[in-house]
Amino acid sequence: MRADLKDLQELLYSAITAALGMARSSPVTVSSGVIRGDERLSALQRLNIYADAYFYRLLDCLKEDFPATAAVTGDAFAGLVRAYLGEHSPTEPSIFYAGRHLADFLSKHALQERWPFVAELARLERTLIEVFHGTDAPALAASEVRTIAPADWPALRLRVHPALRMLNCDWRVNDVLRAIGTDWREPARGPVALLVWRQRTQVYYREVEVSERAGLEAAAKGEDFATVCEAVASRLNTDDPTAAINRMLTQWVADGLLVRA
Amino acid sequence: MRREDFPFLGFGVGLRRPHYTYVLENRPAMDWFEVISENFMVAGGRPLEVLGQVHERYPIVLHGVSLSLGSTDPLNRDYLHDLARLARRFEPAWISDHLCWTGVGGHNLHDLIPLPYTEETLRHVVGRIRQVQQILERRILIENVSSYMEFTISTMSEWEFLTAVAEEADCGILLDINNIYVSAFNHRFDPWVYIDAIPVNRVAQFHLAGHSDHGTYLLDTHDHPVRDEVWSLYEHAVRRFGEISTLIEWDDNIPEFAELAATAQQARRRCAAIKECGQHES
Repeated sequence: MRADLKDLQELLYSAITAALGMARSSPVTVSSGVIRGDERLSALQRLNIYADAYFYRLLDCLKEDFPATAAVTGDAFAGLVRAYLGEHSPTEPSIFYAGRHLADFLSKHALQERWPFVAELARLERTLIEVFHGTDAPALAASEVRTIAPADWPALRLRVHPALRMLNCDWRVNDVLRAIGTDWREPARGPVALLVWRQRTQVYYREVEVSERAGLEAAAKGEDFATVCEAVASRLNTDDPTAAINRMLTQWVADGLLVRA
Repeated sequence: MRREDFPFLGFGVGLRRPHYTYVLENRPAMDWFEVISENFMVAGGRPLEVLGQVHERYPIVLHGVSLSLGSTDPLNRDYLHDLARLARRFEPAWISDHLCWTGVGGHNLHDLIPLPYTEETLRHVVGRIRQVQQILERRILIENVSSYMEFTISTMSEWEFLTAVAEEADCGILLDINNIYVSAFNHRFDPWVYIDAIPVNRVAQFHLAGHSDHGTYLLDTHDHPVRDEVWSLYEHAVRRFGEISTLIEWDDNIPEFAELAATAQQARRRCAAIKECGQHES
């Protein structure tokens, strides 16, 4: 009988998601023998309440998680979500994970031809969400930095915040994101490196120069401070790399990008 | 079941994101808060910081939507261990979830799908609740869901099924009064009969919420004030079960916090009036 319950659940799952093109059996067939209908609501109408709820709940969730992608794609967003759920139905207990494959899915979707930046825009929006929920760590305070002895700096291994993310984009999608809600325009081509991070509970993003990106990537790999400085200096076009590195480090500490080792 | 496992917390509201800042900054008078467990099963960030601060000032209860007690998939051990970890950190007064299934084959519908009410389903669900209670090292509450379909293979009523599950799994019941009203309309049963059939010693919490009227059916949308008919049913439940921790749910078109708080106060007043009249049966 447990097999019967399993069969019933698989049948219902298939029928509820049928509108998304995943059905292995006709919803009519399912509803007619399994669900009680009456003169007020047929079995199929009852089943469709669940099918509609499934789609619209996830559509609402993805609209909330990807407001800029939804604004750019407009009326096409619902169709995108329908196609996306057909390939990537939710599997995790939290609905927070529902949109985790949307950027990859968009990169191969027809909408990408019309808006060639849209997959990168979705990736930026998804990254903002992941950073928002990312692991906590106490930020390194400026007062703590001042206590480090000069002799200890070269071998010092900085730790970047575990929720920090870097994105390398072909389009300036950060410009689109900032303009959403006003009058967004198709972005200029990049490349652009974007840093997404969280300071306490607030998520921020900004563009970083190639030198800063190299430094952060070296720090994230666990390289010592001397190696981080070399990574930065080799990409700087300045006569005074030390001053530039000092400014960069001060900014990293002020932004909470570094955490205690 | 020991009633002291589920003390009377008073009249609370579901804590939702639009009210985080208001609650933290104003510390409004509120007996307790219920939170959706899954919203806090994350690595870090604002949700956990908010819950930490709320926990310092108010009793909290963890209410889940993805335990999927009725699914034929294996219990999700990772989920349960995350839930246990959350409970250790935030010490909820209790943990609850729904008498339903939410997915199968590794998929999650993110909806509360009803079960067929049969002896076999009963045995299946009871076994799973026992396992969950063992892992969480505590009794849980199970909630009746709103439903829009019933199954031809069911051999018992929902209230018979709910009662049997609670008795055999030795868990408590979170009785959602609005869900009873919605399902009663959708399946044409008498909601008062439902309430009168539930064992008094198993009920540890009430839910109240609003619903939408779609003409041929009612939808449990949690986006309206509690309807008068549901308030009447609540008063009937208070007369039967006594003073039970009561919580107002509001998940869509969420109003100002003051309106939620006023609804909790209304529940308090209705409960007090019944108590004054000495109308508690229990």
